[in-house]
Amino acid sequence: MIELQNVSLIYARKTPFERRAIDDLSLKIDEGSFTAIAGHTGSGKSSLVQMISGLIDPTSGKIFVDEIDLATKDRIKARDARRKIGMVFQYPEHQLFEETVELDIAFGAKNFGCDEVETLSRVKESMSLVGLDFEKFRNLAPLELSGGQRRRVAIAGVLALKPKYLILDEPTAGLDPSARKSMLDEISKLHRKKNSTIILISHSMDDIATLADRLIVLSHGKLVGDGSPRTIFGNKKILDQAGLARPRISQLLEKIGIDSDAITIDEGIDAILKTKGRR
Amino acid sequence: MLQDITLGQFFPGDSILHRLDPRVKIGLLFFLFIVIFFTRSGIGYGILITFTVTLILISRVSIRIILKSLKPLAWILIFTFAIHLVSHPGEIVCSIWIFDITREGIREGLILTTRLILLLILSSLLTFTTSPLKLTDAMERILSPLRRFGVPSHELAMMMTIAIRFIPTLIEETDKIMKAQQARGADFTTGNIFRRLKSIVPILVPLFLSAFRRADDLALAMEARGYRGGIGRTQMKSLKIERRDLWAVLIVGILSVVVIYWRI
Ligand SMILES: Nc1ncnc2c1ncn2[C@@H]1O[C@H](COP(=O)(O)OP(=O)(O)O)[C@@H](O)[C@H]1O
Ligand SMILES: [Mg+2]
Repeated sequence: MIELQNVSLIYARKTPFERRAIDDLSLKIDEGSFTAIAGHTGSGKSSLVQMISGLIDPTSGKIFVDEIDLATKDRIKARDARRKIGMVFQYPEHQLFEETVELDIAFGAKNFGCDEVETLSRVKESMSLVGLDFEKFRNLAPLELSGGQRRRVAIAGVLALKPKYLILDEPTAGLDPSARKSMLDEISKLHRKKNSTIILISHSMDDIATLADRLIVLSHGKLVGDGSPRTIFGNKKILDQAGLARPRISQLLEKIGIDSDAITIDEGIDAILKTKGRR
Repeated sequence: MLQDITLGQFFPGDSILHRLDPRVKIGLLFFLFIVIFFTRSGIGYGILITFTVTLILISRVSIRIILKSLKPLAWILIFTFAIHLVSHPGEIVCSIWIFDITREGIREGLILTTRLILLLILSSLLTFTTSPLKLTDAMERILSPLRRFGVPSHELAMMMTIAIRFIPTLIEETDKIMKAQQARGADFTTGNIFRRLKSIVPILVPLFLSAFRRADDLALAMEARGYRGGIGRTQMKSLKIERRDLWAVLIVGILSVVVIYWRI
């Protein structure tokens, strides 16, 4: 379980550029859950997940990963806690640097102290998880790949670390529709098959509705909504406050006058058929 | 760590110092440099220090930021002072080991470090209160008479503008890439020199790639908007000398006369 207790983060403290990115935020994230984080640009989503992964320290408050305080003086313990969390940054393909796909995916695993055999098996496994053929891609240079493929390589590099908790910061930003669809399918598969705990930052309410079982809404660094996507999308006050729209299917149903709490396409179809049947 | 860099940073504001013409500011800064180098007396430095402190107060840039801008050079300042302490023959005040500290040494050390600190603070004040755009604009105007001799003043200014514009972007980018590689278990802080040099590769390669990508995009975007170099380009906000600029010149002029009069 990941737990945040009254966490605040202030950037550029004591300068004219001081900015409170996260304001007194507390929450718990359970193992095996699929949590989505939404909020307008600059609401603090990226800052929040970077603190959870131990890359930046909160200005005040505490963060626990499986009961271990990330700020603990015991450096080995803190490191092991941090290593349970895999973080896929926005535009992760920009961090590729090795000559071949295989080497790049292996980079993290080697840093974590895996031997050759273990590294190779992890590379193979994570490549298959993101749908890249090992033999076909292993010796290609990352720069030879398409944008979508590069992003898979980057994600595979994080999966090779076998994180217990996987954080993805807007993983579909800038992808074409088909690459986007398969990316989302893979994330969903990862959650169902591997039972990984997933935290997903996304601007797409449609994706959140289909994938997540919990939605956390941030606005100006504050937690303004926390609940199942259905509850949140039914709460106009939260949506207005955070400047979020409802999933498109919900908007459509409302427009054509069907009263329903459907938030995914499938639910929407059911609702439409039901109304049609009644007539 | 990377956020601590104040070099060339601009702090927006609307003090008199912010509103002065940048050419006048650059000119007066150079003039003050010369005055400072001629001054050797306590009274002279008293006046100059009072003047500098007044400028800091007028600019409303916080003292902490001024001190922070001195911090990277603290060792050089201390070193300069120490060298002068022991390298001037004269009346010995006390001896430590083989070094004799002389009255003249103390005086010279104090003069030199005060000079350096004043120069640093005054130059910092220039960049703190002048937007990079205005600064390069002023540089272009100051250099433009040299065009005749083949100095590409516009191109130089444009290059500077672009470089300054991209410093924060590159810092941000470096920060992001470092975090991303740290998340993959990269370690930049431990190990011997070779390990550390090797650990920079995962930062440098993506950084260069992104810099080239950005340069390409920028060149394309500039061309698409019809940029063809300096000839015939006009400015949206032309620099204009105002009454306050004349006052600034007058005040610095009077101050300099007084300081020079008491320079010894
Ligand atoms: N490294 C940084 N230094 C200073 N301010 C930052 C930094 N990163 C983010 N911020 C600021 O913190 C706020 C939250 O940013 P971020 O967490 O990136 O939001 P989001 O991911 O929701 O768009 C923004 O106002 C942003 O400008
Ligand atoms: Mg973000």
